[in-house]
Amino acid sequence: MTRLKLFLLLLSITVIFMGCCLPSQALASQADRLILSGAVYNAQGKPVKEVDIEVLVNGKTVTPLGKDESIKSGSNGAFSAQFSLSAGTLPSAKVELKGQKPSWEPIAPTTLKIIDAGTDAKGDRLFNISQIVSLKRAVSPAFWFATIILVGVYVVISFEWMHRTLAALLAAALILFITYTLGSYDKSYYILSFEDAMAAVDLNVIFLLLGMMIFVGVLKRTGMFQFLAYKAYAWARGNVFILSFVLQFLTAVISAFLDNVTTMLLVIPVTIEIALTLKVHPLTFLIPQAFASNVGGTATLIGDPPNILIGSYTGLTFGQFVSNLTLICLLSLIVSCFYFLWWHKKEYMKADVGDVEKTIALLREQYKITDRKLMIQGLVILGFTILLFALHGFLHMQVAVAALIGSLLLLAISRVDIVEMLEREVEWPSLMFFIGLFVVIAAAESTGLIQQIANVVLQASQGNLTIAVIMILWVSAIASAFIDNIPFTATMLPIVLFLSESFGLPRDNVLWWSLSLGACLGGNGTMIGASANVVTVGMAEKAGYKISFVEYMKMCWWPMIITVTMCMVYLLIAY
Amino acid sequence: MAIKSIVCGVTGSAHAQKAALEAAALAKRNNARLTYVYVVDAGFLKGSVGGMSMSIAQEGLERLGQQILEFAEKLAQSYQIIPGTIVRTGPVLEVLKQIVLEENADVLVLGHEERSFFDKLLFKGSVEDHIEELKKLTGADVTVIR
Repeated sequence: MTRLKLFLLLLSITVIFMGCCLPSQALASQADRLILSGAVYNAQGKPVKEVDIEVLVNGKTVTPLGKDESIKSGSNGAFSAQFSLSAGTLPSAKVELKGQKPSWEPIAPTTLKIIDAGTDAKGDRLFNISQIVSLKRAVSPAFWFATIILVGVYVVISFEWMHRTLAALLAAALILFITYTLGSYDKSYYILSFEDAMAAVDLNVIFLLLGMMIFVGVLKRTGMFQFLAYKAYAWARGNVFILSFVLQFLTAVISAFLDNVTTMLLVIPVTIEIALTLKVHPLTFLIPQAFASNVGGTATLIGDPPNILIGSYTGLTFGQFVSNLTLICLLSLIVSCFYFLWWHKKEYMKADVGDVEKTIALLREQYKITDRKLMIQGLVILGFTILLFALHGFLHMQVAVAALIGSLLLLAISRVDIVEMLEREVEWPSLMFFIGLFVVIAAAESTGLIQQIANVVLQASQGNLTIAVIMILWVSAIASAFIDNIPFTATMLPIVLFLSESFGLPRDNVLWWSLSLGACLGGNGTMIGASANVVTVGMAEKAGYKISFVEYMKMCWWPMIITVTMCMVYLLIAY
Repeated sequence: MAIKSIVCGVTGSAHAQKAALEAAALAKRNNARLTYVYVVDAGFLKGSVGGMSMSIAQEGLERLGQQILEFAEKLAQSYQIIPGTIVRTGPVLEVLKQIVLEENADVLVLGHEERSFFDKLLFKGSVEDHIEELKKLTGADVTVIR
């Protein structure tokens, strides 16, 4: 009974409340209703999200209807809001809009044009406003922080003052720390939100690298790489010129699909042993191999980290990389092979071939396939994965999906322990380096630094595409010869995108190939230009065969210049 | 002081091979025990690659070390000396110190390694920069063959 009474009481209160409200609603229906819609774009016509919009009626800020008391532009730059004002306010009112976003110049109060849209069913007078707002970048303290941090990462990595993973992650953490400390008090210090930082991490790149690391981790257990190097010797049958040529080609082909550094690390000991057998200085084989490894890696989307970054950022397919880059890489490889054969001809002529059959037998004994079944499984599934790479554009599938399905299928079939694989074979520091780097670049983009650099490049190219192509190619090549080409490419991605849009180019445009060829092949110029070079020189030095920085440059700078020049001619003719 | 035990650090370089030969001659003259050491130190990769590459590099260098020591053994045999050989992984200075102490060596023989400014910058440090430290830590005499 008590519950029934309570229910009746509540029902009565509700009815009375509704009775009271109805007249007031009827009163509200005599209001002026303002419907605002619009969008915010930057100077390049790209939407700008999270801009705080404020509407003023007769100089006073008005609050929009609904849950959100503030108006923010969405990811497509659009914003909308409704306002209810006292009847008769709007026809004679001065309605203004202003806005702000950290690292952008504030939108000064702009008077809006009101359009009378009649009356709705409730009797409210409707007024519409539609406004497109253009936002300009501002050089704020956040800009300077992002600049200092980005430059700091480059310097620290270049001089190896810190492990590159620590440098990138520390920089990313610093960006977020500044954002949520100084940026909380003063918006001009606001660099990048945590959400935007996480959104900037390209998981397509991370999982693609992870998948390919698993492939290498499994295949290296089979002894296949060393076996192939021994086979190169067997095919050459003591002819040092043919041997060097085959070793370079072999390294290039493997590097087109697998990590350059690992490829080099696996073939270096065999190459040194072969060189010692022939009484030839090992570096005369090793340096051309490292060079070939970088050229081979340039030929495909998965061959070199800069290409992985470009492919994922632009959505360019594996097939597009092959059709645009493989031919020029093949030509570059042939030219560089012959260059090195000529350069080392005196050393090769001195080779003491000795008893070839005996050496072949010795190497065969040492470099056997250690697990034939695993090798066949690995190669079949790698072939299947490459097929998926070739089809990923057609299937609208990210390359990371192909790499993951292939590598995980291989683990499932081969019964290789996934925990051991993840613990020992996956280079987590490299993956974390990429994560940190993505955040640092996103900060540079968010604060307008990238835009500033892009403007400088655009001005320098005088709006001429040919100049832009040549400039990107050579700047990338020379820069990559001295600094890590991964952060360089990551920085260049938004710059090249901006230039592509400024030139009105399609998605698969020449500027990307220019960046790829410059960043990947430029690394060949010095011993520090590419990880494969550092590893090769370091391993050789540890074995007692050293080469100085200048000697390395003497050997590799000109072939690098020749190959990049070939690429420039190719790009200018083909596009 | 009588020399009873000699440790010689060996790589494939010409200076190191010369040092191996000198060490063998010294062992012959003093009728001392000779131990050739190859140190696997892939520390130079730390800044640029991760764990998997480090382990591959170490495996590769171990294999190379064995071959280099085999070659050094042949050099020692020209003095009718049969040396002991050790391949060990770790920072060069640390490993050399350990082995000199383990072998109770009176002399540590090393080959001179030339390094340019850039090489020093890239592949930081050289054993030669720490000779006094090695002498102090091990009590052994350290000879660098040029």
